[in-house]
Amino acid sequence: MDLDLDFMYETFFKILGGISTTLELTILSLLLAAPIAFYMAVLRLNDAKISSGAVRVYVSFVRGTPIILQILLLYSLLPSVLNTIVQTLGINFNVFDAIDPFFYAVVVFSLNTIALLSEVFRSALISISKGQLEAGLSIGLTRFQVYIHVIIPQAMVVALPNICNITVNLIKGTSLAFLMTVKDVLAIGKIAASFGYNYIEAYIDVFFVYIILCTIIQVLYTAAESKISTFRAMHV
Amino acid sequence: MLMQIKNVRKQFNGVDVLKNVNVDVQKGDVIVILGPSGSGKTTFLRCLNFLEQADEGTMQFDTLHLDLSHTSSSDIAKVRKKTAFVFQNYNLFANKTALENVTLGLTAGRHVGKSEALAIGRQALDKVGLSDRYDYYPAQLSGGQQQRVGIARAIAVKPDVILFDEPTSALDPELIGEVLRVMKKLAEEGTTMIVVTHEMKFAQDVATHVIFMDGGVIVEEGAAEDIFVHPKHDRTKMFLKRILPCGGICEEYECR
Repeated sequence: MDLDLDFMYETFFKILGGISTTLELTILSLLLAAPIAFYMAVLRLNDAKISSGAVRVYVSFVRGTPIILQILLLYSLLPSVLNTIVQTLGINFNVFDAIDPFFYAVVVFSLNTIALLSEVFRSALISISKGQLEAGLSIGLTRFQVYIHVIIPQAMVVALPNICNITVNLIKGTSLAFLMTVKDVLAIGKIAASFGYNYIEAYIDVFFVYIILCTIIQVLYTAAESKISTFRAMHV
Repeated sequence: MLMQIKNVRKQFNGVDVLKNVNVDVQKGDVIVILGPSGSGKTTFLRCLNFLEQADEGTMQFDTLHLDLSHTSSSDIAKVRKKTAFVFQNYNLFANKTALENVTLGLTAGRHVGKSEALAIGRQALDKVGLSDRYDYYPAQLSGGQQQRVGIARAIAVKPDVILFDEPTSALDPELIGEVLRVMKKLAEEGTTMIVVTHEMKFAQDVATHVIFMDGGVIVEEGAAEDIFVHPKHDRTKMFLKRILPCGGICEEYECR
């Protein structure tokens, strides 16, 4: 078996070009999901019966189904639903042509990330002692101020390793966006390979791109973690 | 009269924790509340700054007249600005240095300027003997030091009254002294304090008024001397007998 090294070399840089799509998808999904997930975590902690129950059901739906199914389902469902809405409103707009599949990918991965992040935030918030909230209230801070100055900074330290996990999983998961015709790292590799059947070379390229990308992300998270956790420094 | 607290009642899951508790506080008073665990002391203290909501009761605090069971959040905020609380487990903000712990109530809670807050914060830490620990995080401090930061955090906001909830109960015996010395100093300076504690010596030396609680009611109250030397109620005698080294038979006031 001979590997076409020239092809591998050329394709590697083509595939690198797909990183922007992969990262955009990842970062957009995380940014959209984070505030909603945080709100859901707080809802669950406050134990408001209806909203907390709704959040729980949502989380179990997401966790209980494969992401590939979520993609297929939403990618079939969402355009038709949007189209019906547009038609009923009488707007002259072709949903199927005008909306980039990237948009649907962002929706799917955001919905997925919301569920995972809300659990991460919830467990992180629980780990911060209630006593600190009481101490904050007792010196005249509002609940919101205590969260901003005391609870969230500490909860972030607890949550960060898990957020790193979610981010790396999301980067890898976005390769499934190929199913929605989004041209990410994997998709570019596959397309390049299909011209001359150099699949092995292309997949090895993709392999290295993901390894490099995910390693960089993990190093960044580790650096961030040590930066924001100085207060846990040394114990007496 | 600084505070007049009347008819406080509180239930937890159908169990009466407080049944009709009344306490008057004058400016400069050091009120010590004694009693076995489960007697409602801590709950009573927590009701005073609304960490716990009483089921019934009224509080007159300076010019405020409050119904403890239906207090508006703005009134709660007012009371919390006039009081401070020292916790059994210190409850320092783990992500803040000692100095930041002390100044947060000023900068965020009271909109005091940063440089002024820092000056007040340093002063408060100096007072509790921690001039060399401004930039230490709670995890780097001993229990006694953490509790002294807790006290500095309380005095920095210049409250009308400081509530102490068993401030030395979580400390190693050898660290209790440093905290009690600080509290004694505050008392001597005329700070109004309500202290829930098991430190009998502190109660004997510092209290202007001692309250003995059991089963959610005040069994007996009076000057320290009355309670320790001439307890009237059998329940009080029994409690003192168990907790005082002299077995409760205090011929002299300085039995310990």
